[in-house]
Amino acid sequence: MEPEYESQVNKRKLWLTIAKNEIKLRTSSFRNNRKRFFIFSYLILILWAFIIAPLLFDSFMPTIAAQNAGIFKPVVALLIESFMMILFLIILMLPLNNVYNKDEKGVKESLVASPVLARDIFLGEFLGKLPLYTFAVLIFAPIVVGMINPIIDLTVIQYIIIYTCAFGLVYFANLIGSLISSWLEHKILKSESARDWGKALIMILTIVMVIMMYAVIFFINEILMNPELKNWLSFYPSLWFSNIILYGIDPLLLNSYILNIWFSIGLAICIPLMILYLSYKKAHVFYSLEGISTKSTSVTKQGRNFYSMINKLAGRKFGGLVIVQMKLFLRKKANLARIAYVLGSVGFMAWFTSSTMDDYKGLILSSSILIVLGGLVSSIMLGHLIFINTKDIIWVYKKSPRGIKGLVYSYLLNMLVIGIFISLFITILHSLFAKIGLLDAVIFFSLFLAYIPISMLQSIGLQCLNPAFGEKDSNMKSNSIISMLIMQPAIMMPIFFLIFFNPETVLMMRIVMLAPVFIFNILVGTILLYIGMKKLNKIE
Amino acid sequence: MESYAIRTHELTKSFGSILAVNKLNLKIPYGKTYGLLGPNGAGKTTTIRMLNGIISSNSGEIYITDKDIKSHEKYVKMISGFLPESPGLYQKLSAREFLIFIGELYYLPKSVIISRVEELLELFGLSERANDLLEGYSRGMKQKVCLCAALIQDPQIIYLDEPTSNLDPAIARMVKDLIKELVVRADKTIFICTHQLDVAQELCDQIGIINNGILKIEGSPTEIIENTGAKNLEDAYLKVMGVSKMEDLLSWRENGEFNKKVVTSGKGKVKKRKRVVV
Ligand SMILES: Nc1ncnc2c1ncn2[C@@H]1O[C@H](COP(=O)(O)OP(=O)(O)OP(=O)(O)O)[C@@H](O)[C@H]1O
Ligand SMILES: [Mg+2]
Repeated sequence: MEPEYESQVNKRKLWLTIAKNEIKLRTSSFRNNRKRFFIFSYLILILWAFIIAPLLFDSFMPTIAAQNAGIFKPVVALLIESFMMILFLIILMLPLNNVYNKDEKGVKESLVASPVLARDIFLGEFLGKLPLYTFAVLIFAPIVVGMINPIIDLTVIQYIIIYTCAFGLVYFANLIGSLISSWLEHKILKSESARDWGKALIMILTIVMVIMMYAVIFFINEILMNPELKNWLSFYPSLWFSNIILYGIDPLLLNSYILNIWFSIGLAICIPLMILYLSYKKAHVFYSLEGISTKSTSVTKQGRNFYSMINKLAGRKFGGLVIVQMKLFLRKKANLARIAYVLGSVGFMAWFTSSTMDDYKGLILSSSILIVLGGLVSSIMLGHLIFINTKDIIWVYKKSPRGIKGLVYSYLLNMLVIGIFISLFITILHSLFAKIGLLDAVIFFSLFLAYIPISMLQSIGLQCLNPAFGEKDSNMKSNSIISMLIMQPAIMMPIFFLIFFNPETVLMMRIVMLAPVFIFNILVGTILLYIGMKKLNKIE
Repeated sequence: MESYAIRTHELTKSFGSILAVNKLNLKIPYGKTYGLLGPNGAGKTTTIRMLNGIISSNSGEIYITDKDIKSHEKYVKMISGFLPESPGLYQKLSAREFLIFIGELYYLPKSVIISRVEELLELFGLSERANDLLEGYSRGMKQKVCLCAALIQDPQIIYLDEPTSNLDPAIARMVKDLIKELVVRADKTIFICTHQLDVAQELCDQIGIINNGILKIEGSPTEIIENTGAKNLEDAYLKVMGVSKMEDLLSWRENGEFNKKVVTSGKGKVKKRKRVVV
């Protein structure tokens, strides 16, 4: 290589190029007026941060403060701490959520072909995300500030401290999240099956995070009584940053800590910078450009009886197709995590509703609500997955004499089969918690099972109208939101009709609560599905 | 009226403002191999998709074995096999499972599917890895699976979109021989889209060259070469397309910024390209 050429390559900051590209990718929907988009949204956010939010919190925080005059400062301190703890976790999780959904293998390959190094890509991708994380800070930091301002009347210096800490925390969390996700993606979970497990794991981590949030709320008193408990968490990075803020507000707030202000500042500055430097220098350790190797996996004869049973259940015409759907569905471990999520959340509701109702009418009410919730959760968690990874397969169905119907019906039947297991599990839980008899259990099971495919009609119909071929497609989000909106009336209906008609007998109660919901969903669902399949048949 | 395997009349298709296929008239007799050639974006894939009933046309008619595709959609889909341009596969199925699934899509009886699948897997040398998930297959292997899928219902008309582009030379040879066999022994009608002129010349009884959705010229390979006064099919193709001189194509190198900076790495590559005299 000519020396002149080489120096030119070295002079160019490739990570900067990559960072810019990353920003472009993330703002592609505003590609025609990107500059205006940034200026406009930053203006709005600054308006929110420095004018609207302070006014808003000023209006109601003082009254709350007056009511709880004595303990207010420690409470605010704890709120700030837990808020930042959770923020740190959320931001850290964000890159993890995207690990297995990058469909950029081809792009990565052309990057490898260029003189770019692993460290450039890592740093570039990290920096490219920062402007969007800055949005996040400008949205959330005013809430923290708003909680403090009315009581303490923050000085300009305190403002600066708080915002600096918030930015520091968010960027640092993002850095750690990017590190872990790169490491997972490039070094650990290389085979397809490992990636599957990784996806399932991340799904479970998300659930754990939600549990942590609740834990903070539940244990808030405990921690207020014994502030030294927090010392157990002094390694947790968000505490370094929140300590600085607390010290800025009132140095006394830090008294019960091992970490004094100098340690906190030292850790908050040195650790992130050190990690950033090291990760840039040692990027090859956790980031490889080799791409993902797919080990070939053989299918086993396992579960043969199971599948032949389904074949019989689904009938001659659809048996084979349903089995294909079933295999596809169950071979993705992330889907198993989703089923677990459905079982967990509906199971929790089964415990919750049956423990609050004591008479027979209450029982009917709780089981009706459970049926509706079961349909809602499974339709949102599972029904929307119909077109995942079928972008090219759609053509295969279209080409065949069965057409798109083959896909839609076999998926629906597959959901019915999976619904059997979900219904069975929930019925057992419900019977145990509510101590119902066999007849009631059978009725509950049949209604629960019937409602799953019925409620899925609309989610599948929505997907046909606007298919999402990847789990992280924007269509997926919008479809799920529409789906939830459509299901809103379904949740309200049982209680509404119960109050409105006030039926006397148990049978009438069941009919009044469930018949309108079933009819509503069948109507809306079939209409959506009908229009959706028409549209999908015309896809080009 | 004479009977044709495939006949189109003023077939037109546009995507928004893009006219992909423009008043195409085709007449393909039974038992012949037809090759549709043309540059990228010429409308080949669009044509093939319309002939298969996968997408609908804006205007014009299609008759497959003299049956109007609009009123005989199911029949047309049953008698035609299609190898798509990009392999549409379920990554989480094994090759065997996938082919059985395709058989199910075509309403074949179970016993027929099983024997047919084994036959095809054997033929394409996939038997050994037939139980591996398709996600671990190489591109060429996926192509082979798709070829098997196109043949599974023993279709009368076979559409192949870039059939040999990702295959190794030995398999490409085999596929070419297979196509010949299918025509000679089983009397199939075959419709091929390709960029590979040697494939077209070897296999096709008739060739059409399409550009911007318009059929430019049609005939047997020798007819086309004679009519254009060219030396070979490649020459004829370039003439029909009106490709400008190589010197024109390279003129950008003389006055570009590029010249001054990254000369050494670029030069060798460009020179290696085949020189074409028009
Ligand atoms: N689904 C679609 N939506 C919009 N435009 C399309 C669609 N499919 C094809 N086109 C356009 O129609 C034209 C013809 O495309 P087609 O795929 O038929 O070309 P082709 O001859 O098969 O090219 P290649 O050799 O690259 O495969 C192109 O301009 C393409 O952009
Ligand atoms: Mg094409």
